[in-house]
Amino acid sequence: MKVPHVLIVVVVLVVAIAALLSFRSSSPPPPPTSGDIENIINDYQAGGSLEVDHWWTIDVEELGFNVAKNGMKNQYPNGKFTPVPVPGGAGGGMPPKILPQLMAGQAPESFQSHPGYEAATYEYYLRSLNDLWAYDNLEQRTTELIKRICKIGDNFFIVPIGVHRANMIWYNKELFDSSGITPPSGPITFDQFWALCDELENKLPSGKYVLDLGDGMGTTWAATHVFETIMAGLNLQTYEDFINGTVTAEQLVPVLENFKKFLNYVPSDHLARNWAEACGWLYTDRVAMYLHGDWVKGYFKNRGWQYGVQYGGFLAPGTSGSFGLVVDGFVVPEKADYIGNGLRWVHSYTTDDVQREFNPVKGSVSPYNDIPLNIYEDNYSRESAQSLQNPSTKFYPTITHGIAVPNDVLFDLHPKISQFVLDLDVEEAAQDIAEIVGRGTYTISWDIAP
Amino acid sequence: MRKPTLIFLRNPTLLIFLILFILMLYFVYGMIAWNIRASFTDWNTAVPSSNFVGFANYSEVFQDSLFWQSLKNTLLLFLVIPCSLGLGLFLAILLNQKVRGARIFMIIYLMPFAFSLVVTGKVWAWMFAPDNGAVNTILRSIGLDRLAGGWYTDTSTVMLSIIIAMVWQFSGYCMLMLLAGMKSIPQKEIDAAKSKGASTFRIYRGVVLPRLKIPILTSVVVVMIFVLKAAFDLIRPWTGGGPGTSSYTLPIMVVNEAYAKTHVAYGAAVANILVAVVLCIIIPYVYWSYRGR
Repeated sequence: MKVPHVLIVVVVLVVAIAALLSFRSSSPPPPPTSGDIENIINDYQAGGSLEVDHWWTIDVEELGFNVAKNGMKNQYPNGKFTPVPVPGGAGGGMPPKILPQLMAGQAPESFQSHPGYEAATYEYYLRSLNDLWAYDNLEQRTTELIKRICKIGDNFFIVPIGVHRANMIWYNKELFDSSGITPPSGPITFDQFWALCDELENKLPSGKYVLDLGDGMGTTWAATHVFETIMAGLNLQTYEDFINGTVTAEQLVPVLENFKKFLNYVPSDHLARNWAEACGWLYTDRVAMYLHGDWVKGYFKNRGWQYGVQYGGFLAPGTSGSFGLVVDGFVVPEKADYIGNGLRWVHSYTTDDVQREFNPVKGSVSPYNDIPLNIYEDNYSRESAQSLQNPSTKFYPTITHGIAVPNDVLFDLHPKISQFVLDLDVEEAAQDIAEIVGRGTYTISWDIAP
Repeated sequence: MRKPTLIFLRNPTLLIFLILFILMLYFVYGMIAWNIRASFTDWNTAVPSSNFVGFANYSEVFQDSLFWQSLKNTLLLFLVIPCSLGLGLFLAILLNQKVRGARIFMIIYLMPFAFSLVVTGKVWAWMFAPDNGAVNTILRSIGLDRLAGGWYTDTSTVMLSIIIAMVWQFSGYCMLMLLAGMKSIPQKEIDAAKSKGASTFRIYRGVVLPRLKIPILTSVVVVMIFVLKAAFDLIRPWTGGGPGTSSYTLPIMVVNEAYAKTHVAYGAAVANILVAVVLCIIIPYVYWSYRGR
């Protein structure tokens, strides 16, 4: 059948128009130069688009993100804010989404990252934020370690929004009370922790468990989180050697032995749950304790639980005086269309109003020392915020959440830890992990051991 | 020689095909060529690099035990194709009978094909949950406790769990293609076979199945495409490649290497090997299917 000429003309016109529309009809504003930061931040009528990629997709995390988003929209009402959720906790889903865009020069105005090695991965594509740090006085407002990890070479590339503590064990008060066991209130050694686990195991009814792992449904990093916390609790020197790439298999053996012991108290179907579902087991009285970061507080708060009433927390064994540092932040790529909006975004969430509202909702503490403690509803958050600002606190940067080791070490570590959780072969895992760590390229020199 | 414009005016469809061909040349074959080129470079950070290193990346891939495990799992996934075809054929034969409500059953069988792979993974994670999932609950209730295992939390059954989920999702499509093929067979051929005393089995074997060669070929190609898609989209959010690395597939390895670890050239090498494996399967099959036409 002959195709009418009219149809040909229509097809060609449609293709041509589509090609033309694929280019923006109006040119975005030219990227701001470094001297413009004051004008950029004070341009409260600025329009244009703002795409922000983030991984805060589980209910309470999204609530926290929405607080920051609303803060931005209140300050700069004319911009078109487009949040782009990228599922995959601890930022594991971000690289496949963002890296091709960065390479193609089609970056969003901002995306979520962790400082340290994770942000350093993207350094080539990021805009320096030295002018913003200076304008917002962030160096004076945050701690030395946070400053240090937000910097790559001479440039700040990330602005922190909230800080979490990694080395916590959360417990279900009802299960402790019904077992007649008093939860620890102070520092706890590993021997004391195992004794506690044994006592719970003997007293908990059938179908209820002492601990959970939450490393299922694609969140294998939850197991790495437990591994790093045990390592920090046993020996900070081992931890320091690990993140400097010099740890030996012999140093890792006791860590893995204790991890193996930990796994004895975890139900056999732990792979059926991610970290949020493991929190759900604690919430529904299926498990007595869960070793995880303090973002779980937001999960419990969203379900009506109060810290100190239905649940509590104590520092993981051996980590008294230590603070497992997890810092969330956002970066601004060089080649975004509306870089000014990206800069206004990272500025907006450092403001007093947003920080006061964001952190209690998210379950984090502010990285900024001018946010008062009375914004936090419970003792845990107040003490955590105080620890963060205390110069005598021993900080160790998290491995699992992108700060302390290069990405190519981290993403080989996750499956290796996952394999160890299955086969419990301490010697083989110690050798393999030491080899993985030794293969990395380390550009940050850590000094955390006392 | 006729002017090109006259050729297009006399055969306007050529113009449409030319546009599509150019787009495909760039976005499909051009990108494959780019990927092949990248695999021969030292581009193993986020910063692009184009120094030629020969076959170094391929040599490293072939020495990587994770690659062989991922390859084995990816090839295992291809079992989804004959299983989906088999179940699809069975369903098509059932629906080809004149039964009431056949159309409704067809919609029910086809519906899983419309699901997102992530949703399928979540649904089957619940179904296979070791503690209280539907599958284990049913098995225990009928006295088959021995079979109520860890499923996707167990290294020995994780790939089986994934294959079952994929067959559930893709067999509806095969059913649709094969049913359409059956309905296109002239009734008089079936009647002629019946009049010669052929049994139902011999009618399907001698008359129906030979006429289903093209729908089967189409189903094989389409299901293979979806299997390769599911090898990442279904598995990554469901098992993450675990337990351990027992459900790692080549697509998961490509994403992990190229994006998470920014070993772009290494990931490109793995991707090219995957393409080669697929071509080694599909080209002989297509050739065999079209031979003698």
